[in-house]
Parts: sequence; C-alpha cells; structure tokens
Amino acid sequence: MTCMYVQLLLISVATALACALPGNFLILRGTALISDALSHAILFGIVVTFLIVGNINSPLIFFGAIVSGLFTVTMTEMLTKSGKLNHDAAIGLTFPFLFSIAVILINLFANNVHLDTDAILVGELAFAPFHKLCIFGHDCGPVALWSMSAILCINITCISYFYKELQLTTFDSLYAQTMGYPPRLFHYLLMLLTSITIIQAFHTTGTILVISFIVTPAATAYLITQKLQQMIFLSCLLAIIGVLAGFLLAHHLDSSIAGSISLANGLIFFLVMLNKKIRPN
Amino acid sequence: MITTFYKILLGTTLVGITTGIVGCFTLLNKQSLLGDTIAHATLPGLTGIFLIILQKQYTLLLCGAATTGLLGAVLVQYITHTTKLKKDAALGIVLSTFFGIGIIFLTMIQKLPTAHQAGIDKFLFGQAATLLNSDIIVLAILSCIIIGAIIFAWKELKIISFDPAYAQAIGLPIQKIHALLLILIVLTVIVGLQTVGLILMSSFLISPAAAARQWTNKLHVMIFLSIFFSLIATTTGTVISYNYAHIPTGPTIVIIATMITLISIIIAPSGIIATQFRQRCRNRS
Repeated sequence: MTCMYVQLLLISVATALACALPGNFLILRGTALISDALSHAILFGIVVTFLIVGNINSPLIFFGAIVSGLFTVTMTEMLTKSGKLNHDAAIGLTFPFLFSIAVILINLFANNVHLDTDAILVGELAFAPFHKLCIFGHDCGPVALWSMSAILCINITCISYFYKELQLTTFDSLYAQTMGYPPRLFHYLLMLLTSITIIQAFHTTGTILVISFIVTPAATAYLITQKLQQMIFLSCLLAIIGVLAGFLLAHHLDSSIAGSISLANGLIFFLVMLNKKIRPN
Repeated sequence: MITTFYKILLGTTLVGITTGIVGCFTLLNKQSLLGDTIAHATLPGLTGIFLIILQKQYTLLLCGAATTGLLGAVLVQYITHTTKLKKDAALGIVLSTFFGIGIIFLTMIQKLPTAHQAGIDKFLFGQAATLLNSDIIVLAILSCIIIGAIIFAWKELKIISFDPAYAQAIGLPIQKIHALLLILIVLTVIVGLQTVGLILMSSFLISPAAAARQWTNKLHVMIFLSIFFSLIATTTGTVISYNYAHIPTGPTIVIIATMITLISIIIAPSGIIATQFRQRCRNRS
C-alpha cells in the first residue's frame, strides 16, 4: 500500500515538473490559455486515432494527438490573422468545436472502452500504478512513471539546449528575428513541447486540471522573481510543494488527487499574491 | 398541457436567445474567454450546495453556481489589476483552481450512499431532457432579467463596446457598466448550465455572435442575427439529442453553432472569399 502511494507521488511529481517547465514561457508570452485549447484539442486526436487504430495503447495515438494539437494552434492563428476574429474568440471557437466532436464520438462509438467522459475530465491518477511496465517478465514499475519521466527529460533537454533562443524570442521577438532566430520556429517548438507534455499528463490529470499544473506554479514564480532562470527553478519547487500539499489534502478529504493538487496550487498562488500585496518587497 | 419535447425546446430557446444577445457584448468587449472561466467556476458552487442540502433543489443549486461564478470573475479582475500577470494567466489560474475544488466536491458526491447524486454530472455536458417545468419557469425569469437589463442600459453598453475611449471621455461610469456586463455573463452561463453544460458554455457565448459579426456592422442587426443563428443551433441540437438518448445536448449545439460561424467567415460579404475576389479585381485593374 505504501509502495503504491510512493509510486503515485512520484508520478504526480514528474507530471507537475514536466508541466511547469513549458508553463514559464507560456506565461511570459501571454499565451497561457493555449494550454486550455491544446488539452481539449488533443482529446480529439486521441479519439479519432483510437477509432481508426482500435487500440488505446498504440503509439500512433501519440502522433494523432500531436497533429491535432498543432492543428489547433495553426487554426487559431489563421483565424486571428484573417482579421475576422480577435485572438481569444479564435481560441474559444476552435477548441470547444474539436472537443465536442470528440465527446460525441466517444458517446457514439467508444463509451466504456478505455475512454469515458468522466475519466477524461478528471483523469484517473488513482489507477496509474496498476498499469505496470514489464520487460522480460520483470516488473519495472508503472508505465505512467516511465513515460512521464521520459517527457520530463525531453522538456529539460530541449529547454536547456534552446534556452537562449527561447529567452530571446520570448522577450524581444523583433531582435531575435534580426539575429537570425525565427520566432515562429521557436513558437512551434514550444507548442510541440506543451502538446507532448499534455498528452502524457492528460492520463493522470484529465483535460481541465492540466491547466493548473502548467499555468499556476509558473505564474506564482513570476510574482516572486524577475529573472527567467530563477523563475524556472522556483516554478519547479512550487510545483513539488503543490503536489505534496495536494496529496495531504486529498488524503484528509478522501477525494480526487488531481483536484486537490489544483486547489493546493491555487491556494499557494493566492497566498503569494496577498503576501506581495501586504508587504511589497 | 405541453409535451416533454416542446417543454425542452422552450428551455433551449431561452438559452439560445440569452446567449445570442449577451455573446455579442462579450465578443465586442474582447471578454470571450471570461465566459469559459466563469462557466468552469460555477462547478464548486453547484456541487458545494448539493453537498449541503443533499437534494436537487434547482434554484438553490443555481444560486450556488452564480455565487462562485461571480467570485471567479471578480478574482480574475483583481489579479489582472493588482499583479503584473496578464489576463490569460489570471483566467487559467482561476479556472483550474475553481474547477479543482468542484472536482473534489464531485468525487465526494459520488461517494454518497444515497441515490440523490444522479443528475449532478449532467451539468458538465448538459442534457436538456432533464429540464423540469419548474426549471423552465426559473430560466424564463432569469432570461427576462437579462433582456430587461440590456434594454435598460442599451446606450451605455453600446458605447462601451465600440468606443471605450469615448465612453471615458463623456464621463460614463465605466467600472459600473463593466460590472453589469460581468453579472450578465454570469446569469447567462447559469441559464445555459443544464442545457449546454458548463464545459462548453463558453463556445456557445462566442460562436453565434462571431458568426453575426461577419455579416453586419450594426449592433442591433448583429444581435438579431446572433439570436437567429443560436436558435438554429439550439433547435437542431435539441431535436438530435432528444431522439438519440446517449448524445448530450451541449456538444451537438456547439458543433452546429461553430459550423455556422466557419461558413459565415468564409462566405459573408466581408468574408474570406469576397476579400480574395476583391483583391484579385484590384490586382487586375
């Protein structure tokens, strides 16, 4: 029992860290709600690929989800560029559309077959330790832990390797352009990282609470510091504190873990905000 | 004696009219995604009240939903005004925190031994078939309040939507008008909760208005067109979900409304095809 609890905790920490990293750049670019759009749109990709392939564990599902995530980003940008809609209306129009199609497809063809609408909304973290990864008959721990750690490694590698480029395109895209770093390329890199993170996190947190994992720790860190490097480290620290506090909360209330972590993240944010208000520096 | 179908249709029509009107103002004020946050923020109020009274007392549930929805909207304003965070971050934080609390309450409700819990999760994706006669009366009163408030403050709302700088210059109470708009959005979300569901409510505030905006520059024409488009979507959605029990109403309505918007963006007089055509003519001459 304790072993399972530790595994749950490790999965949640890996998820929180992987989500918080790209969150920093999304907050600074003012595109935090693209995480909302991506998490809904990704469901569309998962459902459609699942209906074609017929196997929920197929690696193709991953690619289907990435394609639908990037499709959403491109579509909102096209709608905004056409001048017919402003940016937030374009976001608010695109993702509910794809999400609605996904929900109807689930209700028509796939209900109770590994996908149901409740699990999608709130995630199924509590079941994650039961899906074990077996290599040559050895039990190597839950699949979710391995896949989430892999995503975390990808995020750390990409962000540290392209740190300078991401920093430059975030703070001064015009200058970045003249220096020969195309801002659009790095915008799409960030969207790609966010998409693959959400696809994995999605299983544990559900569609909507993943926003808390991405946006809230980074936003809290942004209230505390001005420096990007400090902000990234702080957001990771806050993400871990949020997970621990959320676990305590979930244990006391005997309730949803992902929901409790979101609440803990939010409470930390409001505490920091009030503290800043009462004692400015 | 009205039949069940017409009763449901009456309910969704009320939703169509109110979202059609209020959606125009949120779109013009660039508040589109605020509706999303408010809709998600109603969940803790809805489920919290249910945990206290343990029965589906519709009016009280809606009061709870309105309270937390409004609280969420006020918090978004507070965060954007007092911190250096941008609006999208504030929306994301409030949305996910409130929804998290709602999910905690929802899992508590699902653990209750009583059979009363049935129906609360219908608020997520909306199921118009669960509307009762008394619910319709509540919806009708709310709709009248919304429409009445808009007629009452028509001139102010119009000026603030098209020219906020001018509104400031002639000394209109901008803060109060924005607060009124906020309350109107919350009420509209409440009206739509049971039919469209709180997850997809935001889209339904955006798409009919966005479609109408493509066809006209006049506010009153835009509002009538918006009501017209949203009624097409609600009626078709109701008919489909009434005949197929396992299709929720919300997603059906959203798909139809978005299709209308996309078609409008392409074929309207100021749309993509017309713009391309005009450009080509200009290039030739």
